[in-house]
Amino acid sequence: MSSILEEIETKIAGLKTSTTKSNVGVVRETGDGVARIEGLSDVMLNEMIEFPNGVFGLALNLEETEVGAILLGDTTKVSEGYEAKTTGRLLSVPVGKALLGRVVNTLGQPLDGKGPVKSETFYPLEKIAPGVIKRKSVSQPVQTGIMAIDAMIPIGRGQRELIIGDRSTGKTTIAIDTIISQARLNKAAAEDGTRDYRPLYCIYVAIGQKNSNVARALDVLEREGAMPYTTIISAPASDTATNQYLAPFAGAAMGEWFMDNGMDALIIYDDLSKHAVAYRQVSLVLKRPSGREAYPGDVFYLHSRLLERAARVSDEFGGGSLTA
Amino acid sequence: MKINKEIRQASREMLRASFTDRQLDRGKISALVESVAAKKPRHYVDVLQQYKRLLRLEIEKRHAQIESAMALSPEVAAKITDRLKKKYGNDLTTEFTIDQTLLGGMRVRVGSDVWDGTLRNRLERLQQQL
Repeated sequence: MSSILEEIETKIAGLKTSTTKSNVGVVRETGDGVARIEGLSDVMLNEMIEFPNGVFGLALNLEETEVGAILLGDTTKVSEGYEAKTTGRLLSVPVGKALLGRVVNTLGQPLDGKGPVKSETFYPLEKIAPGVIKRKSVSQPVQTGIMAIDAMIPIGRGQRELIIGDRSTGKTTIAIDTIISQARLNKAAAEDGTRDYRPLYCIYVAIGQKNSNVARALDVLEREGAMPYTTIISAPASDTATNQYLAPFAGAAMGEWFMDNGMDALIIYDDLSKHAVAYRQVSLVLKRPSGREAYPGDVFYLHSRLLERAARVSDEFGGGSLTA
Repeated sequence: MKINKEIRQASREMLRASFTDRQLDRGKISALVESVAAKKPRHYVDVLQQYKRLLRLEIEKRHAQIESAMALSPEVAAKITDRLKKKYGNDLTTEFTIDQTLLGGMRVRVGSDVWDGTLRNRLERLQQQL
């Protein structure tokens, strides 16, 4: 008991002298998961904004007198006249091995009812992709377990590969099969005690999918015993456009942790056209000018900067890789 | 209110024209409003409304609201005003209010900057941390 008292004591001592400086604004308009805030003169792009009731937002549009922010979490709790505060933090998600075997949402909160995610490391969602110096050429394969692919168009660790095809032609199946095959290889290597084998961890990001599809994928992975090496990030169709838009970045952040710590990871974005649709919605509600088919002008940049984060970094920087 | 480019530009120009020596000029402002109201250019009501909004924000930037739980002594108030004027310029206006719910300490707001040293804020932060 006394340790708790001491803890509170130190916290109070830390608070005693401090006068906090913050930058505030007033919510002028809210709706469709977006709030327009007047004031907030010192806000940074992509900074987290705190609303009362513990709701957070992300500043995406900085205008002359107003800030357009997308809301994370319960959007009904924010209404006009509320005071919003800058936090000086960027949106980040928990990363690390604690996430393996889990199903989480965009913010890294568990959806599988297996208790809280025990992770102490946090990574920001947006990160600049590794540059030329940090990279190494791709030299090790990713076995998909599908002979036609492995023989004719092999995929390397740190590569990115587009799976394209009409609907229901088996794109998701290829991805799931790869995860299962990798899990089998990982398990076999662990049992044999093969030295120098680098297990490949998998991250499956489901964007705008039906919940039933995600549940089926999870069921298959669990049945095949692949979950101990896999994280599923789920932003289903019923989730807000904001969460669907941020989900792949959260996945990339989780993958980057493996890469930075000298491990290999495979990340599967399923699918990016739904992600573009979610981003289009967010952009249109923020009143950004639209281009062809109403997609915003930076939708290509959005995807290129996301996929550029897949890399094989050189040994000096950990030698990990992220395959997308 | 839907604001198009024209309105935004016109109101911004009006705002730029309403300063003398980087301070808002009451005479200039009323003259501007009079002339717009007399000429009645396109979207003049929206222009005036947007202008009013910009002016309000501009005035808020030069106005300090100081809330405290108890009435401040004149010396303390003068000291605070002095310090704030040093930071934000001499044309700063101050307004002192008393708010019992702050419990203790005070809270200063200038434009969108807020310095919060109130007991309520500290308790709230403590609540968040625990």
